[in-house]
Amino acid sequence: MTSSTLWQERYQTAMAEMTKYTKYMANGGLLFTVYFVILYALVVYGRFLNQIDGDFPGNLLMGSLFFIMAGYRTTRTFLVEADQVFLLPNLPQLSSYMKRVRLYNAFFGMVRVIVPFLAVAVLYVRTETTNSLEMIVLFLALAMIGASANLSKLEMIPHRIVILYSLGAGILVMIDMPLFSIVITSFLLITLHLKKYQQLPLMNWIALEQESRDRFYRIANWFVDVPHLSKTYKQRRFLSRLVEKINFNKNQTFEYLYMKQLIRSTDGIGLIVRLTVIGAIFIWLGKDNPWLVTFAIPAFSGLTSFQLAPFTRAIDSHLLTRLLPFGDAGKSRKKVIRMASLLQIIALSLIAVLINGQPVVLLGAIIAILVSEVYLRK
Amino acid sequence: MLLEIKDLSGGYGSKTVLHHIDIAVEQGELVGLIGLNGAGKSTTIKHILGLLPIKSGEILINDVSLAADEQTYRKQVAYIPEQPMLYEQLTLREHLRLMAQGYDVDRETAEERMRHYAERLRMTKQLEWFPSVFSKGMKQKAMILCALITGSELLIVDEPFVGLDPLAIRELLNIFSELKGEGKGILMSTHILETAERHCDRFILLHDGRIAAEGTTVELRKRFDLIDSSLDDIYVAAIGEAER
Repeated sequence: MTSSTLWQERYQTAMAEMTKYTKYMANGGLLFTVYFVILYALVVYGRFLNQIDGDFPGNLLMGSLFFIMAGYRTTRTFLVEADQVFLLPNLPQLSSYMKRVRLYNAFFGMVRVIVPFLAVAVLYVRTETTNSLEMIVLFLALAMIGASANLSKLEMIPHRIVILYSLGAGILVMIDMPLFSIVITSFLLITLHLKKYQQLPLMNWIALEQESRDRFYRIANWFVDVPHLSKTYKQRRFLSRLVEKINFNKNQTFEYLYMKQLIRSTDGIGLIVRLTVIGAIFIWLGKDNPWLVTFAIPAFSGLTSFQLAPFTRAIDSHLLTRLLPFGDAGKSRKKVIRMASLLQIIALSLIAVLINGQPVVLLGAIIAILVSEVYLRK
Repeated sequence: MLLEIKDLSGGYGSKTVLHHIDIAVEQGELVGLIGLNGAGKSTTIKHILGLLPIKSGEILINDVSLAADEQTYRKQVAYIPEQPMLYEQLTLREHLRLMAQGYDVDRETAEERMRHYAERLRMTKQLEWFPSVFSKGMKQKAMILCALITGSELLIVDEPFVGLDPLAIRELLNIFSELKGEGKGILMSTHILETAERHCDRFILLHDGRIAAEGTTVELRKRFDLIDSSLDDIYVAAIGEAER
């Protein structure tokens, strides 16, 4: 297999997979909430920009952006596990494939900085004395940081190197020497070029692809149920100790199992926390309208109950689960979801009362409990 | 009779894999289930565990069928699968608690069995570990511990020695011996005939979903006229006869 056909085949497959999930995500209810929050945030930011005065430290914000953009790096290599066997004979001939992977990752590293740059740039031009050349240089320097962050991961270069260079470039922006920032970012790119792999590091790149794919699926899983997602579990010692308090009783077998699943999986407590945080932001943004706040409680609690419903699916089909003689799976599932939902309703209601201060929002809590019960009865 | 399979026909969906087989395991007996790949050993096991619906016939454990009393039936049987299947989100200790709780074992007995068997299989240190950091052998030992903690009357074991180190194999065989002494029955599917020959009381040879031969080593030697032969030779002869 040549580099060219391998690239085409892998790239097309990956894009088809991404498109499929993006479509599902676009149809999901949660995405509308995210759209709404983004639109509302834009309106709030627009108002903030209108009120801003010239003393605002725009250069500090732009300088910090260099540091922030270097803090995140992600890569795609489009390799799969089976490649560690089947690509072995072709390894020396894959330099062109490596070049395409590097270009792809550098390009997406650059694209990633566009929105944050535009957001800060509109503030920067209002607070600093600048010109179009300076803005172009700033964008290029920032784009180089984005590209370098991704490329450094691809070449297994420690993250701290990119952070160090970006810190240098950011400090130059902060001390009003923005044009020199591109010199530092150029040095960073040259360093990466000199340290690049000559032959495809197969195992490392396969692991990077798996990590990246898992990250995408985890995000997609917020909106739709993603099958075959490599699950990650966190120990959560404190909560785990609480679950151990469940009675050692045959009828509570599934309660114990589901509670452990809930506290340790990303689609359990992780989902509840994420939706509660988004709900709290929504409530804060709509704090002037008590009905919007009231509506937010059942909306987010309902969304949580709806998304929590399948959280036991993976363990229900597990061999050990099917062998267990005692315990009522259905009853235990409802009990665990009901408890999680109630805790979230209490959290959202408290946030709503604290932010809005009007007792009418508690009506939302009552509706939320009813909505949650409807889901549980389905 | 501990396990009684009467005239069982079964398989996957419309595909019939097992044809009218009869198997019995007595209390205190270790029975070896042997046969080529695809002979029907795993299908038999899945039927005993109630993971596949039977087409005809009956499976009884201590005279109880799955249909008559599912909880009593399931409580009496524990399983060690060939491929370890553990919950990624539970530590070994939590697995053992879950199994004990689900099989209605009281806390004290469960703690005692956990300590006893974990020590014997050299897994005490791993009790707080998650399966993701287990080696293949450790996973297999974890599955064995999950089955042993239940204290079930009948143990169904599928290729238990795969991935185990020699010390663990020896200890597991000792444990099987002790369980037999306690009156428990074991049905063990294996391809390691040398070990099976030394430790099993009886053998059931499956071929193409039918029982090709059964009996003790002595009975099988007589049946195939292979005096002083090993189980390996008997196995080859039995397969040859079944295919003729």
